[in-house]
Amino acid sequence: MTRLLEIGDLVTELSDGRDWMRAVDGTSLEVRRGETFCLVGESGSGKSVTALSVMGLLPYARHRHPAGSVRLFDDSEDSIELLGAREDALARVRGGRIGMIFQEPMTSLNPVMTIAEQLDEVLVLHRPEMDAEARQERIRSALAEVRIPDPQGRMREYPHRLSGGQRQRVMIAMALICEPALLIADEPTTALDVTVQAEILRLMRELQERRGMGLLFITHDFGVVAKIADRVGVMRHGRLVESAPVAEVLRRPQHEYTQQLIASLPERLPRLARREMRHRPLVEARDLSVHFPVRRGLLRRVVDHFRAVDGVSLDVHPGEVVALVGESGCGKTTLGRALLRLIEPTAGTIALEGQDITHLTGDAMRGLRRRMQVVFQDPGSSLNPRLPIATTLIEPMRVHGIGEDDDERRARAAALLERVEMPVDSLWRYPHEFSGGQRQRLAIARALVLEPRFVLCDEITSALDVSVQAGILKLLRRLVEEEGLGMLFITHNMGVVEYLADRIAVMHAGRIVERGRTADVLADPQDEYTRTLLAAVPRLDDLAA
Amino acid sequence: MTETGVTPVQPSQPWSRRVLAALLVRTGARLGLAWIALLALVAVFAPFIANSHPLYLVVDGEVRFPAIRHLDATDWTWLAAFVLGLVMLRLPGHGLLRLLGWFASVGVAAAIAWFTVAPPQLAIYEQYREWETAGRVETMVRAPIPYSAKDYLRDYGDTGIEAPLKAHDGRTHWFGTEDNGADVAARMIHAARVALGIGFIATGIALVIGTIIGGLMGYFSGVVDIIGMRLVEIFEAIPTLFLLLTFVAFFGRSIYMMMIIIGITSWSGYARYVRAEFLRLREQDFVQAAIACGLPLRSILFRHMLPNGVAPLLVAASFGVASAILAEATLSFLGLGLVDDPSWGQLLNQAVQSSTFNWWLAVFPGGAIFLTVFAYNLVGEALRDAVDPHTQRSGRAS
Amino acid sequence: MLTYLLRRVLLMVPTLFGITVIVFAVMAAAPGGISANTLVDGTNLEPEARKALEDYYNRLYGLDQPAPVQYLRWLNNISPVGFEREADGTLGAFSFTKGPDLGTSFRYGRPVTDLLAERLPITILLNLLSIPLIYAVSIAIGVQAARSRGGRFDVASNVVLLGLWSVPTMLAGVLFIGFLASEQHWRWFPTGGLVRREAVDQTFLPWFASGTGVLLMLACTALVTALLVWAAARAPQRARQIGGGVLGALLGWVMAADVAGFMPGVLHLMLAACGAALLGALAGIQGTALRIALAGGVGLMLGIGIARAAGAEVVQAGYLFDRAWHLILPVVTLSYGGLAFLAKLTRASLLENLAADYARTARAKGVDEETVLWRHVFRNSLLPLITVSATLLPSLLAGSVIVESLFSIDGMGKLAVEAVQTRDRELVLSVTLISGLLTLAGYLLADLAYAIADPRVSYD
Repeated sequence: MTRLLEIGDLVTELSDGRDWMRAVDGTSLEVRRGETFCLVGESGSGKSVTALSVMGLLPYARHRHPAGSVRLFDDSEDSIELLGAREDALARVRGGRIGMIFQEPMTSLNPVMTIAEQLDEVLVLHRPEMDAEARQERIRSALAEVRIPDPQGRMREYPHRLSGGQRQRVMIAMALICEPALLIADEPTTALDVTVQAEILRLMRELQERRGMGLLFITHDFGVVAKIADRVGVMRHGRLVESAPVAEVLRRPQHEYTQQLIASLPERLPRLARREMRHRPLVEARDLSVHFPVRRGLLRRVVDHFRAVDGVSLDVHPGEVVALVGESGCGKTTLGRALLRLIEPTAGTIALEGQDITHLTGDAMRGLRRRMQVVFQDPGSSLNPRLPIATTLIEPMRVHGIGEDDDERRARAAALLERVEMPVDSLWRYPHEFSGGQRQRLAIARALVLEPRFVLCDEITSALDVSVQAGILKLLRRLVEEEGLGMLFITHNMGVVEYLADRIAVMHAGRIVERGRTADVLADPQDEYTRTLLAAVPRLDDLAA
Repeated sequence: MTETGVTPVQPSQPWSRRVLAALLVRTGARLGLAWIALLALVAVFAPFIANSHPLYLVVDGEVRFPAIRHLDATDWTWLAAFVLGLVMLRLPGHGLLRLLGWFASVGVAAAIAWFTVAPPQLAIYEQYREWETAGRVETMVRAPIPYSAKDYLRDYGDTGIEAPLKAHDGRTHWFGTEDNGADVAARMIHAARVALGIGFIATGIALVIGTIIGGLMGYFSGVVDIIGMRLVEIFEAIPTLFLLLTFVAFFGRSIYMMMIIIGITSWSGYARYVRAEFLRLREQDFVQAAIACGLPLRSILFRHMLPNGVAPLLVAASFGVASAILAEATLSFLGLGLVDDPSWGQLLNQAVQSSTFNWWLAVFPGGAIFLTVFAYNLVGEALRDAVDPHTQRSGRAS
Repeated sequence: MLTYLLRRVLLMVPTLFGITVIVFAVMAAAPGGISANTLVDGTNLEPEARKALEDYYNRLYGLDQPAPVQYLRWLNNISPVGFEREADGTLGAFSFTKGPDLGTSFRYGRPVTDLLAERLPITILLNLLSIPLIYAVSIAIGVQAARSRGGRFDVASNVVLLGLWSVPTMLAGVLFIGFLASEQHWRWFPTGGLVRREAVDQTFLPWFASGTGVLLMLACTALVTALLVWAAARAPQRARQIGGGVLGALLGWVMAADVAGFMPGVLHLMLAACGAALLGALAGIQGTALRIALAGGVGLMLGIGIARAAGAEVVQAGYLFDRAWHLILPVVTLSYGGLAFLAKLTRASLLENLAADYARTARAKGVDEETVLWRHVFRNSLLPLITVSATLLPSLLAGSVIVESLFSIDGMGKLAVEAVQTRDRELVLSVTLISGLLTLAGYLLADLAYAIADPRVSYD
């Protein structure tokens, strides 16, 4: 295979207006024709900046390249230097010889231009010899190639009418319409559901093989790597620490960091022996429904209901973790919030330790709240940014009469911080001083401070890097074992389910379609949807032997 | 774990401090704040800067302090507010508590001043000048500008409108005189109080009304929201100036009335902001967590929601002070402002009222309005950048 | 869409209702309020005649009745369907065809409808001239500022715009009148009104003494404008700056000579220096389009001036020119504040969109920066400007109150001031009602324009 793109000792520095920060620090790699090179790393490792440096798309006057070269080769092994190239030379390369797809399909298309207009623009720029009719024909075939249903009709649509997966298909069509030699994909499937992700990955693989183009694929997900990569580069702190064929990296990682990353994947975490605990159910939901009214017309009458949760029954026992799994929009978050009475259920009953709490209000409900707690998904907003951690932890204790005075409560809070493996001086700090993983630990501490019986965890690790996630998962498992908590863990990540959950409930379109012991369901799914879902999950072991 | 481990280790800076620091690195904000501080000093010490009553006087062998003797309740209140402000800056404690404490103590001081201070009913500005010409004065220390705002120089025969430094009889009027013969500089200095007072108090009133209505709309939504939004829409659909004109024309023109009127005609914007913030915050994870912790409504609203929604409100308020000052100036300019009390807008109005154009009545008072409004807008702009997470240069790279 | 429109129009009714309730309540609650007594006050009448007049007013407007009854009566009068009103003030039969009646002004003694028909078009004319001006200029400045982000033009325009935004309308108006329209300084513009009396009878277009005059005028303006535009477009930056500086100094000198005679003095030097600095800086602007527009404007004025000086004798300025001449200062006074605000908004909106994901996608397609700006970013950046247009109208209406009073233009703003000063109840209520209606219509138009500009918005 011939070389296509050669990055040599690339150094990229970014400015925040005052200081220069080195984002890429001497990275070298090579992408060959017809091969997929996966750049893997955790957030902030410089993998996206590397891609943007190649395209010259970093914010103007906010970046510089003190050293390095980026060379793009053509069929006859002639090369041009992209780093520091003139803007017009770069413009010819972009979209013509290198196509690029980005992470956020929802915002990456111009909202006020039709699909056809946006695709047409590329052709006008790079294929000036084509006339309007030929371009229309080309656009239609490009959309058909990425399997957009009804391409003729879609051409006149605006992006907001398409789903996330379809928008990403349009992006791919746009990047490939001029048949570039190299495609750069920056986390193209991260924002998509697993089933959609599987389809997009299959499509990309197929297109790449058919055209024999090079693919520089950036991701943080080793499962995706296993599915798509020929060769893999692992990045950390702006450096490429390891670069080798995919089988080598995944099976026999050489570098310590790679070994540690792979060991942190939830499916590789060591399993703990589990005790079988059978008590009275802690939380019992019976035929729970949450409907949102849809209003329309002159008088805003309720014309229909959106059934977010539709007759769900669910038990959680003390000392067990129940995983609630489903794709975005399936109602799993709504169900969780309804269980905690943060959203009013439309129908059905909720019982906590045998007591019906469906219709409790005011003080009665407030008193019970200390027995059921919650940790949310977004580490950025899970803690009140205006309060020091001490206040966040002590206020609930004071309200529920835990501890004699504030000194005792502070001592309890400090002890709890140790439990979640945070330094005690965190008490006097504000949330913005902590990283995402630390904030999630603090949010867990806030939930535990009331000594609850039941904890709801809503996607609490999905915004975190794998190594941070591993730490939190271990902590959660330990807390469940030691305290006998009951936990409902909402997630879309099957690896996490496998590690953490005793039982699993699969949710689809507001209903639970399958439930059972984790091992049983994963090994032998009964429901059609569960099977699709599980098949779509990219795994390390997918690696073709 | 020992008790000693729980003692504070250098607590980090709260949000207010960080915003203040981010504000003060900006040149525009510094210039704006400097001008406002200067204005505040002028307002507090107005009777000592421009006064027809001498500061110190020995007449017929008798020592007098006419300026202090003639200080009225308003003067004492301003002085007390200044001193109390200095004290509060030094006191320890939470910023908001200190601010409330300041308001309360100023209120008490004002009440005391109102009931105890009784300056002579009749101020005879001419007598000092008469005594001086009669040779009865032994020593006299005058204020830098020896004219009061309402001293129409009746003792001089042909006083009227005079250009700067063009007066007869050896009088020096740096900024000239206005229609009735009063010194423009003196009137402007005393008018600084009107501008500052109206700016702050009217905005304060609007903020309180807007926050309450907006908060109710945002937290309870539903019917409260629909009715509230109609109310907001009504107040937005009447051009504020029309409403102000109507209010003022029908309710009289005391300065307190103006404050209240400007306050109750300009709350709708704040209500909108607070509502939007509350709607956004209610869905935030930490608020949901606070509800899940069973915290009382009072704490959720005032400890968890309001402080986080205060940033856009602060920005809007500093622009609001500017527009309140403008509103007062506009009303005075249209002849619907204060009657006898000095105001920049009223001076500006006189610039083109007679057939000739009196430039000093346009340039100086107009310049003062412009600079003050500009200062508040500069501060508002810098504050917006300082509280905006997008423009903040965060020290932490995630 | 139709349902949405209908719903919005129906929602306007309670809002308008609320507006009048508030204004009415203010008037009724005021000490003294509105009574026949206050209306007759100040007139020099015999006690009997006064009594008779009071009775007349009471009967006509029901002023002796409680405030809520008065309000209901007023509501009945303005509503298109309701009870007929008899000559003696009592209510007659219910009618579907009586038509709205805004009442009679206390002060003018004329139907309010007539007054409004006279005054409203003038205010609307002012606003219709201001709005396009505001949008055109602010977009030009905003685009240039965003394009030179952090550059000299950006920083300078930011400070200047914030300054402009802070200049009170009445200060600008007073300074304009004082310096540019009064006897004492430059008498370039009329001090007030909308038209000179003699211009009403003149021809529409300017009338020249001879055919050569017309040719000279056309030739001069065309030549000078073309020359300046060419220089602005082609000349290198340094040459432009020097040329602009020299021209500015010259114009400043001429301006000083206009009031102070040809003897050089401090004023001459000062104005020459100011003119040189201003035109020099403007000629140095990076954006070609903006520069050409500026050069065109300066060239037109300069050409007319040179032609006049060269002997193109004008017999009559003509109605059109006179009208324009009267409108320049009021329109500028009315526009500059909104212009400054909108230009800042344009800049912010453009910068936000230039950093948006879809702009990056466009760059990744190989689109050059200029096309990204105009083809992709510009349309998206217009959306907030459309939203703001709704709030622009009320502020312009408020501005016309000041501008009309200042320049003695008989528009609705001036009418509003007169109405509240004389406590003219019918007039105050009608003016508020009309301005409220205009404002709400503005909101609705803005929302509809938004729906057209943004395909994501759908109303159902």
